[in-house]
Amino acid sequence: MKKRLKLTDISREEDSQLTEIVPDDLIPLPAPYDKPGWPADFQQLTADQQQRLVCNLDGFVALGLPRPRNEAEEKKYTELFISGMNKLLSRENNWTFLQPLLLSLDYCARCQTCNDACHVYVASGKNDLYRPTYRSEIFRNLVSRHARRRGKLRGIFGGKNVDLNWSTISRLYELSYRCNLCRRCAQACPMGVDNGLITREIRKLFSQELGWAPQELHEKGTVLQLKVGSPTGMSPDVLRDNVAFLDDDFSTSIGFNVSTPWDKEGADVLLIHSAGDILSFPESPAAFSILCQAAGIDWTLSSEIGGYDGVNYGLFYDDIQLARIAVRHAETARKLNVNKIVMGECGHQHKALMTVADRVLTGDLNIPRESAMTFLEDIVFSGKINFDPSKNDFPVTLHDPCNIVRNLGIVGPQRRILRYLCPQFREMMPHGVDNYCCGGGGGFSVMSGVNFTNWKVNIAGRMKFKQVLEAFSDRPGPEVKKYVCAPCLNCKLQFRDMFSYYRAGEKSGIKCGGLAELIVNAMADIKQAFISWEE
Amino acid sequence: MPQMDLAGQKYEVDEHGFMQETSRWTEDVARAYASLENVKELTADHWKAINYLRSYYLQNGICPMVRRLIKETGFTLKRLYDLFPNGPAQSACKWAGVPKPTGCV
Amino acid sequence: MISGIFWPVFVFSAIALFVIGTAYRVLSLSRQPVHLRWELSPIPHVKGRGSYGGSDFEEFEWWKGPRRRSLLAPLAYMAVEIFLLRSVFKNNKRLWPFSLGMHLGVYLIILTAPLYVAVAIILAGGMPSSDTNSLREVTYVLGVTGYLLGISGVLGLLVLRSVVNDLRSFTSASGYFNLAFLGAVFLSGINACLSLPDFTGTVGQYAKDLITLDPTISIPFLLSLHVIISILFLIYLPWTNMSHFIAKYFTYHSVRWNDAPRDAKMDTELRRLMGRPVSWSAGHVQADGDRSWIEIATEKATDEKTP
Repeated sequence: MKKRLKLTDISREEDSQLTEIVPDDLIPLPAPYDKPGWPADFQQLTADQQQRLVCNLDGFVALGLPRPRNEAEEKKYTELFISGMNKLLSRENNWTFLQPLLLSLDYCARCQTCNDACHVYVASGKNDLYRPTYRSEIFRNLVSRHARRRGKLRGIFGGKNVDLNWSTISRLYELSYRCNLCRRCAQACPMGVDNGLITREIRKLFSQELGWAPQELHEKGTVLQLKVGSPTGMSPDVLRDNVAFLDDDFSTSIGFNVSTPWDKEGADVLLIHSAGDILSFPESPAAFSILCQAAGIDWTLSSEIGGYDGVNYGLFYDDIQLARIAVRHAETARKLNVNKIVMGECGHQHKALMTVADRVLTGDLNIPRESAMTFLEDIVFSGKINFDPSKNDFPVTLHDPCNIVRNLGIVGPQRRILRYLCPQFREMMPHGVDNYCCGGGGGFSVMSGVNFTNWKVNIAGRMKFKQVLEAFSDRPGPEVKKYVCAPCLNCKLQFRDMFSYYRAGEKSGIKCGGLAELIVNAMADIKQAFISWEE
Repeated sequence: MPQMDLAGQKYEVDEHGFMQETSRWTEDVARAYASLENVKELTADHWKAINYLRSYYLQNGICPMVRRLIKETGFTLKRLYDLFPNGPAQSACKWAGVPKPTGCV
Repeated sequence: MISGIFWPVFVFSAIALFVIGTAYRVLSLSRQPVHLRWELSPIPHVKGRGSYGGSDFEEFEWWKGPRRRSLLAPLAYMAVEIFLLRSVFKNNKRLWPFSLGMHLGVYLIILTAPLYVAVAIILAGGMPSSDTNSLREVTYVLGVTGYLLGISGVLGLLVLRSVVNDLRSFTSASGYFNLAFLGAVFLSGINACLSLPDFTGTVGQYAKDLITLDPTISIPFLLSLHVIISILFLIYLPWTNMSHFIAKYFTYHSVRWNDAPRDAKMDTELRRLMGRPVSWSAGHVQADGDRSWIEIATEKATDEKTP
């Protein structure tokens, strides 16, 4: 029986974990995944790590916050947290999200209608800690007493006061990285309250006021991107070298002469991939090059810093970094004088650049921005390429990246492509704008923390993995090769981690890849199979 | 920053045990990492991959694409996993003393 | 017994306070600065696609095409949401019957208000009370139904909130108080309704006396109890989170469904907002209280920060 968590537990001063996650609590997976290898394969924190790092939440550590050296340091950060809350409520500092934040803080009816919409909460076996309202309500409570007028009165009348101390802020920091920001709960809310937004605002407070952010998102993420060009560390030279290598390699392996254009001024299309694809899923950028070439698109890649990696981790935790990167993207396009920017298969790039940054890209930075989904759909149905769908005659299911589907409403184009090119296409349930997040959203797919990967594959991704298995339940054996089409790099990374953890390739023959690969695989003019099933 | 004992020396590593001071790497460090993953002996094939990874990293500041590693060494991916139990990124890079690849990889 | 000038003063100033409170809410919500886009599917006003959650972005080179908008679909969507509580039904079946009961109770009572005014006007016009018989019957049925639905809804919600763990740990004293207050409105209503021989006639007469500012105005104790509770509730309402009936307009139209492209007016406001100084403390922001948002956001290099 699980222990109930009270809101006030977050400020418990003793250095203990708030909750323990045990495999028996989690929702069951279908066979052969019904017997968890965990906790045998669970990476326990070492004594040294427990000594050095804050680990007072759930036994998992995503952030590796160093323990405070003394009380003065605790006090300093607690005070910064208070000033941060005030800045979140100020027009100067937070005009970007002030209205949505206030609406979400002030109008929650505490009806818990959103709870069951959350894949993390449900997959955890309904652990109180992961309830989408748990962190929001705590934050709401803190804000109303420390950053609002009439705070005292609210405090008395509202009851359930949460103490603000080091334990509160350090736990809240870690807890703000237990939500994928998928906003499925916001869809469920009758009031339109958005717990995903509140979570992001909490992360933002920590980043912009306390200077706390996950290394993978900040130092090795946005900072590196602004400096070197990409969070992967790929400089323009390495980038061109890599893509040239891939052009060459794929030309040989599939017998189709691929050549990727660079920095072509006045091109119709500037395609900005998520650069990690080049390193981790090179079939994806190669497929785009092949398709653009075969369809006669006037296109180019950029090798300028800010122009070749479409990721924008700022979306996950920091408005300033978000704006800095979005501006760089748009500047690259303006300099190249292209007609439009086309997103790579990357969900958060879509959302960051197409909508969230829309009101930052003023004047001549407002260059039209197109989704990879409509871009590919146009190519597929242009009649310029001959297809033989029988080449894709294996079970295929489609994962809906939250940022492309739930958040941007791009639902149909990818489906029309798959229905045309994949005879065994089947939907997951639920799908479309009601989909579940893969578990890698909100920056998690690039974060491994200390033992965070364990949490990602066992809890955050559990619902999705279950959905995938169910979509393929008619052909469960590993002898039937199956393809999860996930048109988003972050989703693919999460699937890769999950499939490797559960050994889904070996046990069920499941592989994950993007959309462009399936299109190229169906091209009648390419004799070699493009998709390789070798693990 | 955590420390780790490898071949009788202390090294700064990240939370996953990846070396942070690439320049201090020695072949003994690679052997020490390998033995932690129950690989008792490093063969010529291991060294071929490790040396390639290292020299690529020192030149370019990041690890090479797996596809390039495969091409340069002539090993299949399966062979790489046989050599390095946790694969090219999690084992080979670590043994070669270069930082863990990050950023959507 | 309370009578005379107290009633019109009390009732009309209460209504004025309610209007002021509501206006304050509306203004404070609508005067928030323009924010970054944060829409969420489904957006029903997208013509032909809204039903499954699609948007304009599904169109190749969407910026070239017309933005086809449906006027009816968002209304239909909101009607189902407001009158049948669609989201609660879909996601919280346990709560739905009671929440629906409570809300329908409120809606029906609201509906009776103009009917009483109609009765009052007829009476004020010098018509005999019998001319309002059928109107009063309808009002009576609506009122009784409203009170009963409201009471059962409020009771159910109070019980759920105090019994079910998930709800209890999130319900504050004010949460219970608000429900109990609303429950008192319904309860005093049904009590007066069933106890007084001619409830609707009495209310109609009362309403007429209010409108005509009749100094001899006087009503039975049970009705005055109901009126006073209801009026106090009305004054209280805009200052609580029960004013979500106002906020909901903004959460949907200004956030979830706000896919408005920039226009000249918005650009002016954006320029003004981005021109104001920022004071975030973290090193990488490089704010000093003087540099503006736009200067900071177009910053080329950033420093490292220590976690």
